[in-house]
Amino acid sequence: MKKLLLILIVVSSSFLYGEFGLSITQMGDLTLGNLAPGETEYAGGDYDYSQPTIITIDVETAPVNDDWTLYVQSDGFSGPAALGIDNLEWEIAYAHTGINSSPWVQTMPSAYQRTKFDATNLHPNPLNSSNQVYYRGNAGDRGQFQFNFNWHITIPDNQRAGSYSTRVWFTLIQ
Amino acid sequence: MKKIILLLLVMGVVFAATDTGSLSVMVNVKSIFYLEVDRHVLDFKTMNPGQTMRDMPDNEGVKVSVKTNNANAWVLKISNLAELSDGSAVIPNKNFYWSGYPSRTASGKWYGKGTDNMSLTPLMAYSAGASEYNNYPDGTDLFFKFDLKVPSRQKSGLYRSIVAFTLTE
Repeated sequence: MKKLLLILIVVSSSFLYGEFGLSITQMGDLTLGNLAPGETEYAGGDYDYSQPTIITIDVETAPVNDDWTLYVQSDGFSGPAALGIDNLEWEIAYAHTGINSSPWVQTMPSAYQRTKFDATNLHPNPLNSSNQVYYRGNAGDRGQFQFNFNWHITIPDNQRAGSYSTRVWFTLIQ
Repeated sequence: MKKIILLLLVMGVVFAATDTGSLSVMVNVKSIFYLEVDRHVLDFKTMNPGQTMRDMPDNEGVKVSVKTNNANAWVLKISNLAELSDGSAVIPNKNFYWSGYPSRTASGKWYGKGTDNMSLTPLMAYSAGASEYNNYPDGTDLFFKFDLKVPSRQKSGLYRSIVAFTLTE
């Protein structure tokens, strides 16, 4: 009987968080192009929503009493020479929750807020870095939320030739 | 009952809601590798047979700028594609000299000995220092000057040659 009770508790706990998560829609990896030193590339471009990185967050049945937060971070560029991650910028191109307008969109400081990655605050515990918080949802914000990202990169004037790559992480916590 | 309460507390920690997604971002930085010459004509004007003209051009010289971000070792060589000639008349390269100097910020090796004869075979003029393997965008400036001695029995005429600077990594 005790074992059965334990199983029920485990199952019920899983259902509590079953619809809490995020997904990323991207046409393969994000390639910013073949750029010359000193050049700036706008992937998607300002106010160009043609090829954004779409982050979809689903908190449909998550507990309603807890705030939730989406963090963004990068582990830094790797390549033939150092390339500061602060040369990569993300920009909120667009955000919506579907057919109906969403109250939380209006609470955002700006629909076109731009913030640089701050490589100095990525380690050792990037999730504690307040300036890496992408968006903080209020308790009761439920539904499927979508964020569209545009990306900007500037190649330093003295950057060595070669291929550079990094991974950008999105973490949703409630 | 206490065990069940404890278990519930543990379960609460284990199932803290979190999810992570990642995106791979790539960029390719173009290769820069070129040289610039600040002029395309070197004119010794009119000279008499037997006359020698030194340190031409008479300012800082011909400036050759090398720029690269390839981070590889590189060398600059000098040659002329043919001797000074006017039809079949030739002023041989033993009468045509090059000299020069690197800029103050250059860290490589200058191979000129002062006055070297021009050569149809490219001659080493400069090899980059390690700090110049990636010198973009400032580049490395090298300055060249030329001497010409017209043989005393040289036929009159307009003599031409093409001086080439070759950059290799």
